[in-house]
Amino acid sequence: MNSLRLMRFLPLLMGAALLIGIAYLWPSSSISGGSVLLTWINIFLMLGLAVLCLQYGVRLLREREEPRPGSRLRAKLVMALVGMLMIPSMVTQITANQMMERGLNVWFDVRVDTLLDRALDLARGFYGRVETDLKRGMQQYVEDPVLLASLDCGVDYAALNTRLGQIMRKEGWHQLQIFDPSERLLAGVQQSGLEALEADAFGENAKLAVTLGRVMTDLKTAAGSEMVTGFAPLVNQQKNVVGVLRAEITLPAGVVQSARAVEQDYRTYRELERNRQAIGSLFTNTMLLVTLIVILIAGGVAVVFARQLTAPIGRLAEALHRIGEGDLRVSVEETTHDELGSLVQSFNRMAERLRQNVAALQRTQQELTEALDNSRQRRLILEKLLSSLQTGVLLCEPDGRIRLLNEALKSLLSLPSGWIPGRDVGALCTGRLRSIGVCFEELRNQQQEQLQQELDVSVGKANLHLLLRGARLYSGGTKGLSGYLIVIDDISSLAEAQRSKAWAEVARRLAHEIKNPLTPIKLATERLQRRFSDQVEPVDVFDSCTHTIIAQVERLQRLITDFSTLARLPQPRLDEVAVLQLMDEMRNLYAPYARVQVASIDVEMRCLCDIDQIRQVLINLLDNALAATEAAGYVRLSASYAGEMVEFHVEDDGEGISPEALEHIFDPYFSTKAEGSGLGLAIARRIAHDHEGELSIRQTGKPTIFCLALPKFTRADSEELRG
Amino acid sequence: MLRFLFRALPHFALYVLFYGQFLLPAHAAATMQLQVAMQGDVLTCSASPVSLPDGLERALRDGSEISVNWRIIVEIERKYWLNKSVASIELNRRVIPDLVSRSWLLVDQTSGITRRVFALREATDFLTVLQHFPVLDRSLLSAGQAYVVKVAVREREGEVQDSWWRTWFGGENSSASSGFTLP
Repeated sequence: MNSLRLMRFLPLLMGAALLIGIAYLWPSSSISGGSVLLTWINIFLMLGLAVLCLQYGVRLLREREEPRPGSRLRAKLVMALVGMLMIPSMVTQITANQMMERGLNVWFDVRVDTLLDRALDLARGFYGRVETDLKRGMQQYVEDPVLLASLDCGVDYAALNTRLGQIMRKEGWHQLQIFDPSERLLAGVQQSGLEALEADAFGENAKLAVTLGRVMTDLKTAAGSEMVTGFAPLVNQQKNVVGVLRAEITLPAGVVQSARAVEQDYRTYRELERNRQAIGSLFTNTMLLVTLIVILIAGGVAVVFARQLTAPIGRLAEALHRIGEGDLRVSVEETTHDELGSLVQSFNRMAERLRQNVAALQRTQQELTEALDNSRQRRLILEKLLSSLQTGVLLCEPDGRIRLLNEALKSLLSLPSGWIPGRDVGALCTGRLRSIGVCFEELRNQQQEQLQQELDVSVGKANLHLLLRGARLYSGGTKGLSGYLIVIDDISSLAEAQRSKAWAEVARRLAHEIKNPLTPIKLATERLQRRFSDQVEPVDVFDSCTHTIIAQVERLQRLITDFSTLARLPQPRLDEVAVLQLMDEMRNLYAPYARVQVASIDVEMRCLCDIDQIRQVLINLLDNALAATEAAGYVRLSASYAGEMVEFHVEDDGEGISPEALEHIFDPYFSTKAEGSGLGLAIARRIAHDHEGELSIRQTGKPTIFCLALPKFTRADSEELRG
Repeated sequence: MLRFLFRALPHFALYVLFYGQFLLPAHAAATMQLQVAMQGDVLTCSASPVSLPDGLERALRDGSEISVNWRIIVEIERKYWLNKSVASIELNRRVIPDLVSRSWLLVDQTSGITRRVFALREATDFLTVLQHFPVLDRSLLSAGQAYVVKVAVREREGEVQDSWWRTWFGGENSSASSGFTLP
């Protein structure tokens, strides 16, 4: 992290270093010429680099979001390559500067300096000697009588030339001329012939010689040679300048050449010495320029190289980023055939495989989702079906654990809370549910695939007659047992109906087979009694027998009538009935019995029933109660609302009902009374059922309470009746 | 294209900021004594640096050629615009030392006149002093008009090379300006 921050500041540091270098390089006024130009070029190059570095540094600092893939790697590569070049370049530069400094120290040695001074002094001495000799020699002829005589009285050219020739030869001069004060050449001699006798115009020294009257010398350069020229005024006795003598000595070419060479060397040496700092600066700047150019070229090459190198990496990184974001339609262009190209190929293959796998995965997911949806839908349908079923359904695992059970089963069997999926059915089927567990074990152990049994299970105070059907379930063929399905139906009503139907059929047959002969028997007996009661002795026995026959026949007829009633009980004609009316009728009917107490009820109480049939039921119940309380005790009749029903309660203070009698008390032809047909309660219960009500025993003793529940008369019933 | 220009504009401004300062003309300090005078009908100027350029005498003594370039400009000064040039005169002088003969050859390159001197002082004066140098004829000037005379001298070793780009590098050694109003 720290190195990353440092990397962010590196371009700025490099830019700052370059700016410091620029300040150090800034040209001073003492440096001039090419060095200044180089300095400025270097400064411009360094400024360019500094600006680039600062610009990149500022961009790095201001960069908030993630840079383009590969850009940082490219920057690092460029910086590394430039740094790799810069460091040796700087070391080379410093070393070269040191060597240059040492070389300059050696070059500008004191001995060289002294040697050059002496050489120049030698050359100067030679020139000075020549001039001095020339001046001294010419001084001899300033007042030369021959020359003055030649000029005084007309110009004697012959004498003048002769004298000039003598002097030239004597002094060893190369040319000798004589001029009048007006600079007109009068005569002249020279060693090299006549072709150069044309005199030059007087220079300043010549004029000074005339003006000052002194011997003056001058140095003349012509055609690669140098001549020392001397001017001496010719002064007569009146101290007037009458002419000017001009002598010229051509310096030896070798000496001149050597002297000038020494001069040139001296000049160069001194110039270099004066420009020593500039030379060092020039060298430094040249080296720096080369270094900067190398760095720039290297930087450019590094940029190109890094770009070529990082472009595929950047594309790969970008492609990876896109894949990371979920875009699998990525393919990187293959531009090179090296390792990077191979990497790109591998990446493309990987991306393609990934794309195919994801597509396959998506297809599978879609199929699974559809299957899951279907399964959920099926399960939902199954659950709805099961919950809407009145039949109890129990689905068990092969090991006997509950997999599924519906609400109907729970309510049918009034199952305790422990009946939940995952629990073992065998362990749960105890007590009153034991018979179900037995059936389940039989289903598990038997060879047949299905099982059907009828069971009696007590649920609360009721005793249900159930039909249990079991089956084995297989998932694949008949080998893989997947569980057991048990379906339980409450067939109590069905059995009751079947029993009633059976009894009705019996009653019908009895009525048909027995009732018909009874009437002639009774009539015949009564005839016998009327006709032969006076003739038969003893009469008492005869009367007793005939009365007995008649009474038994009548009893049989009533029995047959009850059977007929049971067999042909008509459908009730439902209507609105005031309960008070029923209660009043019962009160009036049983008024002779002081033991019968009819409770007062709400006047507005109504029920939906066939008043004749209900009256019959109430009479039956009250008769039974009176029969049960013959010895002592009271009979109470009351009525009240219970939800949507109207309940008639018949209580008696009799001995109550034994458990054995309770089990069969509503069965036809079951009676605890000696002369009872056993059909009263059966008929009463059938009437209650036909009214969609119920006749039940609320309490079996002290007091014994029979409850007749009938539907309450509602507004809907009223509209239905009107309709 | 416009997008590129807008993007490149800040960078270009940065470069101009860095490099532009070197292209601006250097403002030379007044390091020269300058007197402008009317001598008859001629405007003359006398100028000399406050001090001799560093190493000038040494260079002449060591045998290096020295050249100077005098530039005299007469302008009408304008407040909100560039000055209007009236005259511009250049004067090139050169001194060639002769170490062997201990003399210096003075060359006025403008007129072609040469002179050999044997005193270093004469050589330095030749290079660095303008004495009553005639600049303009009075007829070229307007009465009551304010003028500015600018004089600048540039010195270098060796012969003066009149390259246009040489003025970019190295400032003037000395310069001065003086105003006057023709009565």
